[in-house]
Amino acid sequence: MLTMLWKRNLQIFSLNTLFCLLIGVLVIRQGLAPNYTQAVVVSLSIGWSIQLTFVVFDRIFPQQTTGYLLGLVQSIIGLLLGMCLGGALISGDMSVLFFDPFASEVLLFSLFFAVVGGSFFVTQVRLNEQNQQLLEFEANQLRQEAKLLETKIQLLQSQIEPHFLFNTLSNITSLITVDPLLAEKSLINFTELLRVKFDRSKGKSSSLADELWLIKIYLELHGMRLGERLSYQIVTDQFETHHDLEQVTVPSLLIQPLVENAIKHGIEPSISGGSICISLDAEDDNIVVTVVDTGVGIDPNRQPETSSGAGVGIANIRQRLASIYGGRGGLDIRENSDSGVTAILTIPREEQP
Amino acid sequence: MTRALIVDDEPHLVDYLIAKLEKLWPELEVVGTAYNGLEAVTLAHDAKPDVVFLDIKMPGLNGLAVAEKLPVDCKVVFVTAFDQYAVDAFKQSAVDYLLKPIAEDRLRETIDRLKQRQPVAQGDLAALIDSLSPAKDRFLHWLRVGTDDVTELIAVQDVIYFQADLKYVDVVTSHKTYVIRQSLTDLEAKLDPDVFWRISRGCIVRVDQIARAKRDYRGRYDIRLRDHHKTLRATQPYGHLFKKN
Repeated sequence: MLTMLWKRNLQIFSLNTLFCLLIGVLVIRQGLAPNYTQAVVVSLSIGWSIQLTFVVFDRIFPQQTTGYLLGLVQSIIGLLLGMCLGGALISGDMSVLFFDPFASEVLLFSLFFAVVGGSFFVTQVRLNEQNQQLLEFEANQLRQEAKLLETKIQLLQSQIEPHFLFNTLSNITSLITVDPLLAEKSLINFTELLRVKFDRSKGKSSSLADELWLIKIYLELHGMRLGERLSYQIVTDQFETHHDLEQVTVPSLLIQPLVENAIKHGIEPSISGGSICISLDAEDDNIVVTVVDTGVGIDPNRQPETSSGAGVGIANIRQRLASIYGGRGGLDIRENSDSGVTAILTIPREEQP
Repeated sequence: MTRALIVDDEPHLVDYLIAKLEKLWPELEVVGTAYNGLEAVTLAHDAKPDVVFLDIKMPGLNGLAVAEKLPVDCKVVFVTAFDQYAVDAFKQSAVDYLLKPIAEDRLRETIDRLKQRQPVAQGDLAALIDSLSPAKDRFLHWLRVGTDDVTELIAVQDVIYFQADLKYVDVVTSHKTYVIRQSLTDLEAKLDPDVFWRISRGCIVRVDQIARAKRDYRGRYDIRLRDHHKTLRATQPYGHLFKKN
């Protein structure tokens, strides 16, 4: 804020100086001063004094609004100061200018420009400040909104899609008599998934290991439903031990929607099904998560659904990345040359706030 | 003897329904099972079942589309996991339906109705299919963007504005700008006019991105956007878009 103000002051200072030099020349032309040096020295003394008065007043009475009367008072004070300074500089006598034969003319001349210029200065500075305050207010508002949005998105992503919920339950029901062991395993998986999703106390971030565990459970549940139509693998070669995966922190439930999209929009609509490969790459600054499916791909005319459609899911992920990491990190969605879609999620590697 | 066809893309659910039907209706003959819509239609015409238990959400062809293509004398029982709209529609049209997981009591009711050979109201079925089939959306929702050898996909709803630049169009989203080779007029024709407005010869903007429009003395409007710092200009011929009523 200060820098803005001083920048403005500097601008006005340069303008003022230019203007004073011009007046100096004008004064010579009119034959009001004996030589250029004196004219310029006096003119600059007056000009700068007036600006200084305005700046000082501005510091002392910051709440004062703009006004020509105030401008006039400040100009007169500045002018008198400037005349003393100018007199002192040209002859060593502060009062010399007041007794000059042309004093009254110079005085009026200067006063006129001082009032006009000074008022302009005051108005400019005030406007600037008001703008600055408005900008800060808006920035604050934006920060608030971003925080709210983050909460909203988190809530959204922790929701369970009703279709998935009911399909899973009916599948488990159907397995109870036919394959009790698979039914039991699926029910446990489903309970774990619900536990994570409902766990409100869970922070905004979790370890990569936890996220992958959740994704595995999620894929197993879909595997139960879709049978041979779904195959999947999770590649974590770049992390040597489980401990390495536990050391990396990522925003919670950020990766899972990509897997959800791959199943919902890639595999499920395909008669023969397909496979999903999730691979993790550890770069120096980023964790890169690649989700490749061999499903039906994206139909350009397919409407992204409102609540949990791919478009909205993708927008949510980007929004979260932006609000957590600013400009870093990103998500690209690509079409595979043979079939299906590849999503590449880049998560900056850092401690979560 | 009544002959049935069972259609569901989830194999366990097919097995489960068969087991339940064997228990509750031993005289029923299951003549076939299908795991997607296309298979179901072919099988229905080959095996000529009296009744088809039909899942709604399936790959290839959904249950509603299958119902339209079934032989006319074929009764349909829809089976669905969750769909509030569908359930409302079923109730209104009096077409029989089962909710997953299928409860025995509920299945018994359906079996009783089928045994009584109550005629299926075909008019109702047609109305149901009509009300549930999503209207074909003719608007573009995804853009393909080629960058070297990869094709990126952008959801059109993420686009803030399109800016024409000679033969190309800049596609500006909040995080990136892409370039596509297409004329702005062609593009405009494919976009939903309620969502995207053409504001000048060279620019189409997403309406909900317009934060405010300020008119200048020549009737042009400077448009401030929500998620982008750039100010766009609506030229005079498009000024009517911003007129207050």
